[in-house]
Amino acid sequence: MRIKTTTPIGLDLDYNEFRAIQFNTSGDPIPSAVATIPRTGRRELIPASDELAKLTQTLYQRGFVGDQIIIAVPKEFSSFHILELPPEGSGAPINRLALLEAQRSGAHKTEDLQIGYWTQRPKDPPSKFPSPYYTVACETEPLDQLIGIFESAQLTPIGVEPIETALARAATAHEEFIEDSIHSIIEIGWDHSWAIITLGSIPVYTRRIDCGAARIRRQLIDDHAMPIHAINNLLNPSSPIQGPESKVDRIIATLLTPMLTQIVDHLDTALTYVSQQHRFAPFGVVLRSGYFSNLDQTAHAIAQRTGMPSIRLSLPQPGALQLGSHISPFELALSPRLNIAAGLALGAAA
Amino acid sequence: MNHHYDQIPSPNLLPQSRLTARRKDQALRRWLYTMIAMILVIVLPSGMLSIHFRSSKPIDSDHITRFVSDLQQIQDAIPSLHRELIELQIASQSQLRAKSRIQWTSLLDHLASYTGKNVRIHSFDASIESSAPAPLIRITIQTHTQSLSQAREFLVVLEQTGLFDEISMIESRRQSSAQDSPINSTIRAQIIAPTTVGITP
Repeated sequence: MRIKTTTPIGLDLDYNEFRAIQFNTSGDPIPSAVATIPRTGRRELIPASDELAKLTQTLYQRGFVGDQIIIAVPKEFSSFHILELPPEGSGAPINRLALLEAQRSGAHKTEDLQIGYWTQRPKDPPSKFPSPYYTVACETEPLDQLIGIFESAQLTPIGVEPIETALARAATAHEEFIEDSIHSIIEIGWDHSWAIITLGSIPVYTRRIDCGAARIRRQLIDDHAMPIHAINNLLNPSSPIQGPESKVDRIIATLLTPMLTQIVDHLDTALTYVSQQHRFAPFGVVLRSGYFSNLDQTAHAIAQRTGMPSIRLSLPQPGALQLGSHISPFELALSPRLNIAAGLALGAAA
Repeated sequence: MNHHYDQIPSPNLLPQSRLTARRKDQALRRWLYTMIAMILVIVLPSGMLSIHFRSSKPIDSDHITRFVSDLQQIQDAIPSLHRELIELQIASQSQLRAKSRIQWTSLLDHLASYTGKNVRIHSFDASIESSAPAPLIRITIQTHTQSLSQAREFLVVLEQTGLFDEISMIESRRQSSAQDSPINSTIRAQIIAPTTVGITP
């Protein structure tokens, strides 16, 4: 019998790129392979055949092992709900009830949904009252199509996990992510961003924000006539941008300001909501993840609005990345964007 | 670092229909592999055996009778073949013993000492005939002499050595028509090799 020494491949995708990571399972998880693969710019989340070919080729070249992948629930086709349902162990058909509630919410055009949910840690003694169930619902058809596309490329999706739990898992490597405090994870994505609030390590609220790195890219092209290749270089820095030192950096800083304002407004609203639900829980930290999360400007914007310290959410054992033969400094610089993929892969290491 | 990955819930939204289809696919694949293995282990060897038996000729009573008859012929021939083998063994052993008993060096020494200056041996040939019960050694000597009397004297000397059981001059003539031309003579002698050891079959 073959003993597995690596996790499945955590695979996250948006319109801009695929992000994949795999960990060694012996001892503390250390990344064994990392890849960010640009997409062709189509406005389709479902990858085309040429993109899939490039993905599988790159995974092979970068030393990924096996064909099992865990993907994130596509946010474009999913919704987050907090449902009051009978407590676990009550014998109630929780999955059925959660599905009915998600269908009733009207968040989706179809009633054909896949449901995933989680709760806070069970109380001792078990509660007899309804408990909050944090539920993610995803439309079956596009999800099934996405899985089928990966299967056609000889990849085997063994899991489809919400980004909330994946990011919370990636955050547990940080000492600041202490139990019983209200934390936040800001994920700045390509088209959308998310403010995820956790109580300890359990995600309890998600707020979708309609802005992301694509907006900055569009403004650089439309308003500043910047060549696309130059913009791509800016979005794929070989080293973290530290501040507005050059003219281009100043332009980006100017463009980022309204977007960051929008993000921190939503973050503040989300924190206010959760703090009212959990009145006795102290505030913890804000973890920055995704595009532009390595910028001081982002950290300043968060601190200014929420008064909470923020740290960059980095991969577990980031120092070990430099030792990996398949991992380049370029990919190390992109590591803030790999947190979802890392959380997906680490779910199988648990 | 506090790695408590197992404390984080991990809901899986993989559609049940996919899992079912995959399980069916795995079951089908397992069934196919089992069938292939069965074909390799059971059906294939059985088929090969069947083909083998079908291609073999049927065994009938004529075939068995012919086989028994052949076997009987072989059995009958065994005693005569055995006798022949014994005779061959005796002959070959006698030859070997004869060869070892005749003192060829001594014989040649004698010939050399009796030739003298008047007789020159032109050729010397010896052969063994496997004539039961004792082998016969035939010796042919060709000589050159100046006269016929010298050739006869040499024949007498050889007779007197007692080395030969029988000795005679079978031919003697001049090399040319000239009166003084040398005489070429052929002397033939034979030695009966003694057989002191027999072979018991």
